[in-house]
Amino acid sequence: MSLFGDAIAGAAGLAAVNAAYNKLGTVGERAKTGAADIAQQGLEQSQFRPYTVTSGLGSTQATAEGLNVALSPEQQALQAQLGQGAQQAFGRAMDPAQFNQYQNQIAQIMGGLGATDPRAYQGIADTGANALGLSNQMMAAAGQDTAERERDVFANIRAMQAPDEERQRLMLEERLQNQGRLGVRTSMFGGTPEQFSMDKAQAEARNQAALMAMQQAQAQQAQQAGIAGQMAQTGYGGAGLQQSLASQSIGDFSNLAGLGSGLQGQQAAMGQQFLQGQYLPQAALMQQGQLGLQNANLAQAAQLYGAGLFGEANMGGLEAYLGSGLGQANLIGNVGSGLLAGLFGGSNASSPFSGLLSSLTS
Amino acid sequence: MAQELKSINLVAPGFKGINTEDSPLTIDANFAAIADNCVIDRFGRIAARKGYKVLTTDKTELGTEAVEVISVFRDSGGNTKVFSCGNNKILSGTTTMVDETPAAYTITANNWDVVNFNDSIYFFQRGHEPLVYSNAAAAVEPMSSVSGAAGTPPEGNVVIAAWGRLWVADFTADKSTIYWSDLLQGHVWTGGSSGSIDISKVWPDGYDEITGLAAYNNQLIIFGKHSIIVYEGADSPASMALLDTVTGIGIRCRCGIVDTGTDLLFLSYDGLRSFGRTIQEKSMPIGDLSRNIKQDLLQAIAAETTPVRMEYSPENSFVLLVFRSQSLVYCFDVRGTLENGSYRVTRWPGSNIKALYRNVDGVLYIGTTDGVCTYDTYLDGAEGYTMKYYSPNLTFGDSSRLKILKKMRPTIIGGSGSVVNFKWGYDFSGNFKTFTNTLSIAGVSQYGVDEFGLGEYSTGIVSTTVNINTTGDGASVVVGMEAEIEGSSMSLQEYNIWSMVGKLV
Repeated sequence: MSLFGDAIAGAAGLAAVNAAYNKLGTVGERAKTGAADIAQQGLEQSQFRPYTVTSGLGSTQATAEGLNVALSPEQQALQAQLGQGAQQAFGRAMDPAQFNQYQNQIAQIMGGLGATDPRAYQGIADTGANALGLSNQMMAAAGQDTAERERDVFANIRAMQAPDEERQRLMLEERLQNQGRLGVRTSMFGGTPEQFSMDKAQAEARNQAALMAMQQAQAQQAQQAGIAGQMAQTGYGGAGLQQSLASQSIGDFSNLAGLGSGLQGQQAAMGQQFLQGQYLPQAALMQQGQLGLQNANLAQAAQLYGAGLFGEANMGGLEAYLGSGLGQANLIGNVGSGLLAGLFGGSNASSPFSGLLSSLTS
Repeated sequence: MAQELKSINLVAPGFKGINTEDSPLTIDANFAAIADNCVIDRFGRIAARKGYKVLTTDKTELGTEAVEVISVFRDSGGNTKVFSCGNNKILSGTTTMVDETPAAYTITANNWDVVNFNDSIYFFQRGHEPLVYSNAAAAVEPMSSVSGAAGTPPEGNVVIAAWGRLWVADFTADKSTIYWSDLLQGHVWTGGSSGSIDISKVWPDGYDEITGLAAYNNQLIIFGKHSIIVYEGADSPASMALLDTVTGIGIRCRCGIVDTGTDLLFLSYDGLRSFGRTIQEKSMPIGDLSRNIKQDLLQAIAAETTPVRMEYSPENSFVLLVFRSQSLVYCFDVRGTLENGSYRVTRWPGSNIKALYRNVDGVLYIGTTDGVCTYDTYLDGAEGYTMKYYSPNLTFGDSSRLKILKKMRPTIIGGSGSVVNFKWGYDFSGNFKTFTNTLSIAGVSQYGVDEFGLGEYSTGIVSTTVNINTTGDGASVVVGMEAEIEGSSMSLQEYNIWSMVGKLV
């Protein structure tokens, strides 16, 4: 191929490539413009749409700025009436003159009942005090040293055993005397075998008594502690009973005395009820609005869905448009590239433009 | 008109022994008023007693004192040793007396009570620590020095060995307690089965003092001065029990007790007594064995100032009772008792006997100033003695008539060469006429002696019958004899008396 032909081919190719470049730029501009338009439309389609819920209680309007509640005239009248009742009840509850009136009436009633003086229960208190005193004594005794108690018990046991042991000893002494053996002393037994047996038996009895004394002392100590505890309970119970009876009497007085305050409290409670009832209609309307909100949410969901579809559709068309533009650009570009490729590449390897197109198109 | 001669034949005169208690006119003619240095021989005749044969040749340790106690040690190994006590020493041996007194041991009296027990011999005396000899130790030693000794050795004056123990009583400051040793250990007085018994609360009359002990008939006999207590079951001392008590009878000293095997004899303040063996009764009968010489015996008892000595010799069938301070011995023949329950008794005045001990071999040891002797021969040492016999007053059946003694015809057996004085007297005068006769000398049989040309013929036992013509008269007649015994035995076989009964007096 000749140079001129190459040049013409080259020029044509360049022109094609340039045209493709320009085409691509135009396509982009159109895509941008088109998307913006679609977006704007979508925005407009998805904006909040106010709604209103209406019933016999009144109407509840929901706007972008907030919620407007309007009671029906009947409800308004009821609300006004309840508010007025609450005001009156509170007024009576907080009126000192009304409290005095109640107290006077109660005093009349208390006087008719013949209330009991709490000091009449002093006898019970005294009995309890005595029980406590006895408990202290027994507790002191229980806290006595065990050794001394053991000695006392041991002495008592030995005092019971001693007479019989003495009789046995005297009988043995007489028997030995009759046998002429009273003066016998042996290394094996000390005295006679009978004396040894008796001494041994008496020693065993003493040991048994000592053991019993220890056991008895401990048992007595525990018993005394138990009785002391019972006495303490009795003592404290008596005092508590006095306290309880006195407190009950006082409580009765207090209850009666508090009745007056209670009456006033009832007024206040009544006022509280009125006040609470006053806001019930309005609360019902608020609830009604909540019910309408659900429907509004449904509508909005549909609205948003449609807007989405609209956008998607427009975007799809835009994409098709953009796609065709890109195709056109590509076509032109390919022609140009082909031309350039034939100029700079292929069998004419010695051409100075060989490889350049490859490098440009790669 | 010629009167018929009346005769009294005293066959075995005096064979009933001395009787000083019955009436002299009614007394049995077979008694003797006097029977000095006599015994009742096996034929029932009055016979001369034996003397004592001196065994000791060297009595240097004894000095001039007499042997007051004799005992013979013997053990299970057959070892024997003769012990004697005198001159405040413990002596041993017979021919040569050896002083066995322990060194640094002081003896103040010779009134030892000696017993053999369990291969040892024990010496007890009040106020002295007991002494012990055994063949193993080969020396007399204080009890505290004995190997294994325990406790404080009791310094009692009375000891017996019975039921496997030693029993000791009669202390200086305690007259009512008896101590017994441990079983088979006479040197152990504490621990084991040793013990004591205080009988001060048992005396039947409130108070007495122990003077003697005896083991008899499996019973413990405790003698007081005027009481006797009997315990049974003493083989187990801890459980022995009072069996019997006797009041009013006791003993003067511990030495006045002797066991004859069939009886327990003791010298009380009123004579020689016996317990007897009771089978049918629980009480213990007390027999009076010296009834025929009661007053004489009581006088001797009262006059005695030293402890008596009593010994039984079954070989000689007699019990000798020695009153040492009076040099008097009473010889009681125990072959049998007379009708009144008494023993036949003779006496040995002037005796030098101070101690008696019969050994198991039958030898009767005698303690004298000559040392240790044996009852043997018919000489007291080297000296003779006089045998006397006097009959009771003989009345020939009628004390109211005059008796004219005509003839006496005594028959003497033995007495070879002895000079015999035959006596007769009248009416309690105490004056006697005497007829002296020297008895024939009896030949001595010699065997195993070569004597050629020497003819000697033994006449056997000499029997002499003396015919005596008597003089004088009286309502009652006493006949007798006195003979010097100098080495030969002599017995009075028979005494025939002829008398004419005269007028009434």
